[in-house]
Amino acid sequence: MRNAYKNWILNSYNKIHSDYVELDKLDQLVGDGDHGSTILKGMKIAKDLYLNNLDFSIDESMTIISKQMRIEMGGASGILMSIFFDESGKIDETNLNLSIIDIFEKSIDKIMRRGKARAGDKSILDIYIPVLDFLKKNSDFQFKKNEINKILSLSIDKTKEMEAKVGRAKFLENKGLGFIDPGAKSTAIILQEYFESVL
Amino acid sequence: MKKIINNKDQIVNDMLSGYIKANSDRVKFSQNSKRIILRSHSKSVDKTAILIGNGSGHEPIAMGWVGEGLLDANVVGDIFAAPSGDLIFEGIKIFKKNSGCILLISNHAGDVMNGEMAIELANEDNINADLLLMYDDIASAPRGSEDQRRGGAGTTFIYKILGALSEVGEEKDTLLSLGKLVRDQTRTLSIAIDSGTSPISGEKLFHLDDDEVFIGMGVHGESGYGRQKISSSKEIIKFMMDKIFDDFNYKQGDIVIPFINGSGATTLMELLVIYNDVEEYLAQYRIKCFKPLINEYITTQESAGFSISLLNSNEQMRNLWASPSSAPYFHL
Repeated sequence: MRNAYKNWILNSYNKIHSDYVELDKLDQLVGDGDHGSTILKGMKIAKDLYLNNLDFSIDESMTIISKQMRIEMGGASGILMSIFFDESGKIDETNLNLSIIDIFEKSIDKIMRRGKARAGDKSILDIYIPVLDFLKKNSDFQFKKNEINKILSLSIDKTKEMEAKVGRAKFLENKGLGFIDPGAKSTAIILQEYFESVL
Repeated sequence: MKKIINNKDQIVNDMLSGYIKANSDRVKFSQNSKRIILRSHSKSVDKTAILIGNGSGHEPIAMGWVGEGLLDANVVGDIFAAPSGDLIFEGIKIFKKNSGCILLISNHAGDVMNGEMAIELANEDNINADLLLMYDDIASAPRGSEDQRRGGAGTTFIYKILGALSEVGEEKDTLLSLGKLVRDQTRTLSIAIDSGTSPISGEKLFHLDDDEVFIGMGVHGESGYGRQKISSSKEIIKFMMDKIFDDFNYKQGDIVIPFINGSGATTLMELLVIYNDVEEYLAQYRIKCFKPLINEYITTQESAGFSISLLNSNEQMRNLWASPSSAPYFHL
C-alpha cells in the first residue's frame, strides 16, 4: 500500500503540474485565478514530504502531509482539500473496501462541518458525495475503476449547472452558473489518481 | 502584468521583510514565523491581545495597523488567501499568558474556516481566546441577514476601537460586546471603477467597460448592486448613500465616523471630492461627521474604486477612535 500511496501522490502531482494553468483559467472565471497554482503548491509539498517520510507509517505520513498542505496552500482550499489527505491515512489493506468508504464518509463529514456546505452548493463535496454513493452501492467497486472515472467526470460537468452557495463564487453576478467549479475539477483529478493507484 | 517584483512566490516574504526593516522601531517578526508581525514592544500580559489573520495583497492592511493602540499581531497569508488555522494558532500562542485574546476575522469563507480552526486549537490548549466575526458590506446580503455579509472597510472601526480599549486594560468580554456593537452600528458600500491585476495569475480580477462602474463589488471582484454608467461624484454618492440610508435608521443629531477608503488606484483628489459630497449628504439630514479617515488603506492591488463606511457612534467609540496609535500606516 505504501507504494500505491507513493504512486497516487506522484501521479497527482504530475497531473496537476500539467493541468494547473487550465485550473487557473477556470478559476479566473469564478474566483481570483490562482486555484491551479495553489493546488500545485499543495501537491508539491505532498510529494516532497512523502518521499522524505518513508520511515513513518502511512497514517503518520498523511497527517504530516495534510498539515503542511494546509499551511502551504492557506485559504479555503488548503483547509478543505487537505482533509481527504489526512483521512486517507486510515487505509486498511486487510479491509480495503470498507476502509475506503470510511475515509470518504469521514472526509465528507469534516468538509461539511468546516466549510458549512452541503451537496449541490457547487463545491468539492459535489465530487466526494457521488463517489461515496457509488462505492456504497457497489461492494465490488475495486473492479469498476472505469465507472468511478465516469462518475468523476460527470460530477465535474454537473457543477456547471449549479449556483454557488458557498465561497467567493456565490457573490458573482451569475453565481458561477455555466462554469465548472475549479476545486471540483482538481479534486476529481486527485481522486482519479487515488483509485488508479489504490484499487 | 507590469509590477516591480522579483520571484512571484517570494512577493509576500519580500514585502514583509521590507516592511519590518522600514519600521523596526515599532514592529518585528515573531521568533517562530516570518508570517507573524508583532509590535516591537508588546503590551503587558494583564491586557487582552487583539490579532487578525488575513490574506495579503490588500496593503497596508493589516500589517500596517500593528502598533500600540491598535493590533497586537497580524498573521499574514499568501496573496488573497487566508493564513492556515495552524499558523493563526501559532500567532495566538504568543499571547498564551495574556488575560485574553481576541481573533478578529473578516467574513470571507477562507478566513472564517481557518479562524474557527485556530480558535478550536487554542481552546484545546486552554488559551482564553475568542473569535469576533466582522461584517459590514450591505451589498452582499439583505437587511435581516447581516451575519451573511462580507467584511469590508468598515471593519476598521472594530480594529481601532477595540485596539484602543484593550490598551487601557479592559476585559475581554467587554471588548467583545463593544466590538459587536460597533459592528452592528457600521454600514459599508463600495464601488469598483477599474480592476487591479492579480500578481499571481497576472490577470485582471474582473472586467468593467471604460464608461462603467460597479456598485457594491467586494474586495476581490464579488458582485453587488450591479453595473451602471459612470456619472458625477454627487450622483454616485447620492445613489450609494441612499442605499446605506435604506439599510440603517439614521436620525437627526447622530454623529457618524466616516471612512472613505480607496481601493488602490483612486487619487486623494477624488477621495476628498467624494468626502465633500458624503458630508453634504449627511448635513442635509443634520447628521454630523467626526474625525473621518480618508485614504487608501484596504486595497486590492491597483484597483480603482472606493468604499464609504459609516459608524453611527457614541461618545466612548469616538474617544477610542481618536486616541493615539503608533501603527505605521494608520493616520487619522
